[in-house]
Amino acid sequence: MMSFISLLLVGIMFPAIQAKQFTKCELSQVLKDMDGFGGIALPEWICTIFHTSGYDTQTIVNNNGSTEYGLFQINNKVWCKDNKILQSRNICNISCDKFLDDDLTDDMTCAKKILNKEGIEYWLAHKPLCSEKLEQWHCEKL
Amino acid sequence: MRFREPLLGGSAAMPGASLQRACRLLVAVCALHLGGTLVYYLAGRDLSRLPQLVGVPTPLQGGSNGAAAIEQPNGELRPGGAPPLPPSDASSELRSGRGSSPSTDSHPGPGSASNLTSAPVSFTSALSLLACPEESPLLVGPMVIEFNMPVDLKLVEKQNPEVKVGGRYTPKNCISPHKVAIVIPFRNRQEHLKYWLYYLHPILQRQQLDYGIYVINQAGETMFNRAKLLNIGFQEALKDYDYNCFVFSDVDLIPMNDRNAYRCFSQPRHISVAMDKFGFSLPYVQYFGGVSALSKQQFLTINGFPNNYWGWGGEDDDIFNRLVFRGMSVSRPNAVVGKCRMIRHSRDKKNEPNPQRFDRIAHTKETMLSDGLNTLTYKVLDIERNPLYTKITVDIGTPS
Repeated sequence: MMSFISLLLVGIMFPAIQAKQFTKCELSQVLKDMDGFGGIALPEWICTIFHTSGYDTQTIVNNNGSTEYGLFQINNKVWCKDNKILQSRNICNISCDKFLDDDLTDDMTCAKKILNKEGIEYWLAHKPLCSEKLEQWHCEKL
Repeated sequence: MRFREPLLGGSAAMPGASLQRACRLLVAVCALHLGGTLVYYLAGRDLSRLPQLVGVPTPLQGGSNGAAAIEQPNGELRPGGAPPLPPSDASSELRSGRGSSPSTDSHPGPGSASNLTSAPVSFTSALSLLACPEESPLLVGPMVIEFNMPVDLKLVEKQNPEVKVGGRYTPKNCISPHKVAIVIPFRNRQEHLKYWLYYLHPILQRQQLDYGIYVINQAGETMFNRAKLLNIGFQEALKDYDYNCFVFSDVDLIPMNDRNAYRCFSQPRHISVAMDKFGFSLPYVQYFGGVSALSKQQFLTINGFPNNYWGWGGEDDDIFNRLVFRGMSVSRPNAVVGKCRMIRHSRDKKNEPNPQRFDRIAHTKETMLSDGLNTLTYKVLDIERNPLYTKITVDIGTPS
């Protein structure tokens, strides 16, 4: 009986540490504090993240010798460390795979650093796709 | 005088008796209800009743039309449960052969009357045909779409007897103004194609379209180039027939409602507006990917599609930009009619996200003049006229 209960608890815990596919409103709720940060409104963030990773925390993309991780597609050359690029500048001082889970606090912290240093242009999707028609990225439920 | 002994002893008043009777009646009714539901359940989940429950009229029993595609009385599909499809027969489903077939003629001549089963049609073929109605009377509305059963293309062929070799169909009872070439970009997705053909042929016939299916297969192992394949489909299809409309569809997208018309409108049409992948809503208002339809004229006006998007992403945004820059807007069905299912799959190799896509879509206005139909080059390696589709294998080169 005890083993069953512990097994059940483990089973329940599993989803808590999985990767996640957010919805627009879920993400808006989690990123609320980034609204206005660096002059970027929340809908701009939501739009940028959609076009960057489709709201999927598990997004990993290899590009010209570097790899980008997670919702914000943070790269392993400058911002985080993985076992592919050993001499990463690792400005965010974090292991890149921490950006693949559904806890976004570390992603947001690093994204803010990126915004301060490189501006919103780090995210190439922003200019062509998130400069206009921003009303659609509002979550009405908030 | 006889006394009826009370059934129960004790104090005189017996409220419990009527209560007991009521309880017994209730239990009996519940047991009956449970039994009834059990019977229906065991009889095999009758999904074909769904459209009737939704309040959608069932189609006419058009024997000579594509509505006879699946053996259901109301033209409804029946996957799972007691599937009408035997296990997949992968080895012999394709009847490949070289060479092109002659341009298929669309109207029933005297020779084809012997193939027709219902008298009214052979009668009307003797008269001149009228234009098909604006909205087809054969539509059923919402359908159940599932991908958990194997598909045998030989059986699909039997289920769609009106479809001619190369995947060509023309309505028998009326003349359709919609001469539609459906172009599917393709590489190594045979399983998805089977589902696509299984679901779409009956739908397209119910929509009374004069259509042909063109699968454009990218040869080689270089990065996938969806838009260039679509350009090629446009050009190659026109060699067969004077299509006036082109539906561009990803191979893994199936509409869930046959009122979602796979044909052209006065403005470029976006068809896959409510995909399950995006929570049955439009991911963003400028989204033009998945399934869309452009008339020949609309396509020519934008110089076709870009040839320089290698890898995943961006080409649909580029196409949207082209439309806007030529003064067009996107027409869409509502989100109920526009529901679509996508066959889930992992990311293909050699179709990774294109890192240049954002930069490219920022420059559509300039590049559309020099990147499109007017600069399209490719080599046709093979043309297969299969019973349900035409497959054109092409060498499209490499990123320059």
